[in-house]
Amino acid sequence: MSLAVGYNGGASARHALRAAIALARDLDETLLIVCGVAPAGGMGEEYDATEDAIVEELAPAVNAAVIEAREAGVEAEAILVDAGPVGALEAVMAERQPRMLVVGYGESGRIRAALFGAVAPKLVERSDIPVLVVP
Amino acid sequence: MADQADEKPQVQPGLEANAIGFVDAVSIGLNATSPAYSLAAVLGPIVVLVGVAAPGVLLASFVPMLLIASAFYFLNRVDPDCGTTFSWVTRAMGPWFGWMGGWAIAMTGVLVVGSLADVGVRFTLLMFGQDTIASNDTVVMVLAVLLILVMTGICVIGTELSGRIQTVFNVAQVTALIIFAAVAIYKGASGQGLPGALTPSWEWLNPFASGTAALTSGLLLGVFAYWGWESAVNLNEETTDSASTPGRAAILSTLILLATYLGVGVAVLMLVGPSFLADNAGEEEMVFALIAREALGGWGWIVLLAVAMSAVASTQTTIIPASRTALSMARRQAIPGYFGRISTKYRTPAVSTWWVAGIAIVWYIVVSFISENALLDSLTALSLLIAFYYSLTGIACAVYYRRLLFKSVKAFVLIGLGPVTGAILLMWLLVLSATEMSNPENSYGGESWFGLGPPLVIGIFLFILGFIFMVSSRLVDTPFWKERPSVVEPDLVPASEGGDKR
Repeated sequence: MSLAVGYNGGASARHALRAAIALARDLDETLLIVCGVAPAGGMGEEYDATEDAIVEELAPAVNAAVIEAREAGVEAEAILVDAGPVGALEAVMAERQPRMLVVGYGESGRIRAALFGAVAPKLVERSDIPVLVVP
Repeated sequence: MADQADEKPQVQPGLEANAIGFVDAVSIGLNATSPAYSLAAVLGPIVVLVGVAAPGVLLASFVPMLLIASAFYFLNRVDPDCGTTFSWVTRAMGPWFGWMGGWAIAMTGVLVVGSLADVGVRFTLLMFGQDTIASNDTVVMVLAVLLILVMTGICVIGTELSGRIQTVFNVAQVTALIIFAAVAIYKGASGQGLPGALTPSWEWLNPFASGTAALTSGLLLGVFAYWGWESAVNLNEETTDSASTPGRAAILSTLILLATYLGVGVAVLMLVGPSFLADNAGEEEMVFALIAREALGGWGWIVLLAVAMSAVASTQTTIIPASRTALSMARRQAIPGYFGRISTKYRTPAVSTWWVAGIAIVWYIVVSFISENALLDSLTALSLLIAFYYSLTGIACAVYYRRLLFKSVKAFVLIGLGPVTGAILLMWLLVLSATEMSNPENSYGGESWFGLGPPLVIGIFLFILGFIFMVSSRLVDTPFWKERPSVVEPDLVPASEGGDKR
């Protein structure tokens, strides 16, 4: 079994990563570091060019996270998914059956989260395994 | 682990998106054209230009659009990049043409955003009965600039209305237009129209009914009304029955679009007649609001709401392509890499998006000050750019497929003849209207800049600006300028269209 953590290099995601690494070490689980790289705004015009740009920016951060986990003695794997942050974790959930998801609460305030949606609440709604939300 | 960073990381596919049904597929087709905004922006001017031939002109403008959409369909199918005119034309005809195509797309975004915001603000104000504020240009300009900033923010944050809400919006929009057309036609037919209202005649469907003088300008605006329709035939999303749903949905959304445009065009002629529009010509897109109230009285707000919603919702279908094209150009080193920067948090091309908005705001303000018919002049210039990049795409399609064109009748007609005919029609339109606009008396407001009609000056200005930027990017020797034209891979094309795909 494994744990999956949503990671995009942001401050909130870093908190989640740290918690997930500690947890994976204590539980002796593999850590899946998951990052959604689909361009926002849907399919269509120059989709792949946009996704390549996103991957170029995000892949080093995700790689660094894998190294950080391995240095802490945790078996870790990076997974980039052609989906948004929620969709990426959903895809990993379906394919790899982790026993728990770990996500940051996000940096947006309440109003912004209400207007534009936030990752953590959406995941709690859609997940059938426990979700650990890290403040 | 360190050596892994050098390889291109693998991206896994996401879960298959929920397959979209027939209604949603139809809605996507309508969404791309924003019928309510398009009608509000161009119907008044078209009627003023060509009078009773307006429905015919709207019908005729669809022909080149249909032919060019075929080019988009076939280019999109062999291009795994989900590209745009920039990618395709570069591949088919080399970097110089590709660069100009990309520039034209980015500039259409810049030109249209001001108009979208302006229409969005005015119609929202009118909807709340704030007519005095809506006709105060300074207040509208300030609000429109604020709206552009908000709309750009939304594009940068990358949030999207859910497909379901978009479908509801689109159905509401088209329903409002159809109610409006039906009531107006009923009132006109039962003699409740304004003095000057006309009895319908089949002549209205003949685009040449009022002679050719203003016809080209009318057709050009008609092309603008269908702008974006090509994405209706490019449904990439999974549909519930992928063999027949996309095709039937595209046909139905097209029929709805045509019926709405023609219906509203006929309704306006029957209810108020061309003379009313000519008398109120200075009001530009506000004319549509006047007519809506004339038709629906206290319920006129339904149409105003549809237009306001449509204008605001269109930002996604206009700003996103412009900024993504700029990003793609930057990544291929056709323009400085700075424009290719993205926001990792929101997964959007943040830098190019803000640049599009910034230039759009400056443009909107400057043009508002120097032109009396600022928005209409911008839209006409925009139509020139659209005609340019559409015809470039049509030609690129035939050029890219040239080795396969004579291998099957289907390929020859749909990939070669159709797109090229569309391209020639649009270029003919471009040249004719440019000639016409070189005489300012023929322009909408009769204004003259340097002895030319303002839209032509705007168009020439943008082309020269593009050319200067292109040459200065060329001075930096990047791999982009060494790209050589290629042809389509036969393996990507089905055998029925002359390819080798099994």
